[in-house]
Amino acid sequence: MSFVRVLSTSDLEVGTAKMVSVDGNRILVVKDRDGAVWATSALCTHARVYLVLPELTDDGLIECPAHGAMYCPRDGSVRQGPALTPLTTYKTAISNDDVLVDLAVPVEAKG
Amino acid sequence: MDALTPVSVGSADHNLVAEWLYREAMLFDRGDMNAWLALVEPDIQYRMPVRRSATPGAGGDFSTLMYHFDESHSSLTARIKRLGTEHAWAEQPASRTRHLVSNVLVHRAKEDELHAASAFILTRGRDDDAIDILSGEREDVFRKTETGLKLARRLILIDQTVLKTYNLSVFF
Amino acid sequence: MRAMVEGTGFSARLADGTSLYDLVDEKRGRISRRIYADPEVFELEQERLFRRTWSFLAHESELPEPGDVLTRDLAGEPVLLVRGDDGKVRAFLNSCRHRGMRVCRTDRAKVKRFTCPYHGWTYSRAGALIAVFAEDLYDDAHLNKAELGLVPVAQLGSYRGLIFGTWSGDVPPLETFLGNMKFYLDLYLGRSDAGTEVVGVPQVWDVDANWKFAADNFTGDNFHIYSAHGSIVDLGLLPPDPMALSFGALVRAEGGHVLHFVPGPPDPAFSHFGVPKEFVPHIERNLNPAQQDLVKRHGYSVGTVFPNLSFMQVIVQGDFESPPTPFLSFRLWQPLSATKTRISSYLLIEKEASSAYREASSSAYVRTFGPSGIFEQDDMENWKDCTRVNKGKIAQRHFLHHGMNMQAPRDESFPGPGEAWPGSYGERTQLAFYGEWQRWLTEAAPWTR
Repeated sequence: MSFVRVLSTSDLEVGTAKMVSVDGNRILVVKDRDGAVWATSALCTHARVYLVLPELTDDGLIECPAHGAMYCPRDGSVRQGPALTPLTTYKTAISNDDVLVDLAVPVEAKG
Repeated sequence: MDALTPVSVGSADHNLVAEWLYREAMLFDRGDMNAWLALVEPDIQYRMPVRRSATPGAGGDFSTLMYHFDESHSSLTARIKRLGTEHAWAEQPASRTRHLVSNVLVHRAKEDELHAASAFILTRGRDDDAIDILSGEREDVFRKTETGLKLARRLILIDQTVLKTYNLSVFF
Repeated sequence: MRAMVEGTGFSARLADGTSLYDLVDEKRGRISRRIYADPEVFELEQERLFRRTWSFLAHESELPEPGDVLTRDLAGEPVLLVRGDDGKVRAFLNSCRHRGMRVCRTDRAKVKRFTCPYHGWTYSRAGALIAVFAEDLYDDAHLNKAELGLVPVAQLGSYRGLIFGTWSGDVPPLETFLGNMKFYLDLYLGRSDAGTEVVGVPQVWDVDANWKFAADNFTGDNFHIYSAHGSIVDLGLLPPDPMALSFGALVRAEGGHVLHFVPGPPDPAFSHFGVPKEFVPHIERNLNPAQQDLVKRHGYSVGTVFPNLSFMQVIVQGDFESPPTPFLSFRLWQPLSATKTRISSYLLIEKEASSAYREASSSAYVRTFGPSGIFEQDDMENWKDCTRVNKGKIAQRHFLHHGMNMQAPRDESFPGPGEAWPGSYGERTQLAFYGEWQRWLTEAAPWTR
């Protein structure tokens, strides 16, 4: 387990996503509408475009700016094409005001 | 709205409409506009909506507010009378047109009302200019009257967004 | 004779040695035919006039919502206008920064963002580059998205709903460029509480004529009506007396911004430009006394916002049954080549117009102007023919003549700004337009007076 601090909890508003760089890897950190924090890889698996849109969709999904693919932040699964492959996800934890991400153990996406 | 029943190609009513359209094309090309006006109902609505290209969700190609033609019987009469004056420079000398009409499909709306769709190619030449070519579709409503088939509604769906002819002094 | 234009790096001569200063002689009323047909003059115009001036792009009402997009043209290059999420309209060169393809290829669009069809580069509604294909194959040294947003036009401005743009960072802001013309634009665009909107979409068509014949016709050529539109007199839809429309005033608002006013017959239906009387209280609220006076006293007003945006506020009948009906049209004459012009004609109306006024004004406009208009059909014929003949080398040895009513003294009592002359038959405003045109071709900063 090697959690790394990536953001303050106050840096991340509900329903938004932020891209952070950890050891040269770009990770997307998301706070969903229920306030839960998730982390996924930041590169769309379709055209390998960075998932830079700061707001989740109305359904709480990560949307790719290039072709509109949508992913669930909880498990990285594809909810709308044209992407076919899910995003890698990472364990997160909150400690006091810090958002922590564990890059060492990528969680296998389901579906 | 009345249900539309298809009228087969070659049937009497289809022939009636097709022949009307061919005769109309000949009247246009021979410049016999008064004869054409006699084939048109007093409550005629004759429209050609402006066409601009649009992505889905941006309103559709054909405008519902702006037209290249938006004519009543009176305005068609004014247009035709104008051509008969000595000062209608745009048509003096007259354009040479050829109206090619095809793809005629007819539906019956009522006992005495026929709806027709047809495609057209209109070539237009003046002076020693190159010929301009316009094409499109027409949606017509015809009424069977005591004096024959008459045009009550025409919607001209032109294929061009930017018109590549310097004016529309001809009819469609 | 100057060989170079002072303060610039460009030549004051055409390739054959002809001086640009000889193309227009405002004092003697002589215009060279070359300016209507010469490809070299066209290129100079593009470089020194159209790439430097403010040009009309669109009306605000054409893009009401965020994500609304229009594709238009600025000095011959494709631009897109988009209303952003912040409600602001922006204008950009319609070209992906990767290989140049247009990122919007329809006249109108509604977009969440712009994605280029070629390699998928994606831009936000504010023109920022937000997605590049296989972004992880670029290192920071080889891709800085912040530098690769859509190229914005140099300046964008809006006056009374008219959106103008320019490629020049040097030309003064729009309000300065319009100057006194703003006073006059208020009469058509600022006289009602909610302002104007475009009815539908513009009619666009191409004509084999030089754009300046059109712009010149709208500066003050009231006296072409009886001859060019003689067929309308024959129909009884224009008064038979050729001098009936000769009254009023020719006005030079400022520089090349020129217009004229014509009173209608002494009939209440022809006062206030013929607009429905429910707008008279609006006029009294929104215009100053001098402006109100001009609107009240006149039935018609036609002019050109330099260089190529003309307008007409007129009263016409498009058939034998409708009463005389007012309409307001703005039209853009865009040069495609020395001998070809793309015309975009817009019908505008007060946002608060009743449906009866709207319908009447629209059909009156379509029946009389636009490509099928019973008036405008004949104008196309004339401009086309003049352009054709003026291509000739023999023809080009003989200047075109402008001299009507040049001796009339100024009307010092005219209530509007700029200079005015009595009567609407004359060639003063045409010459003012051409004089300004020549200044743009031959001066480093033609906007300074």
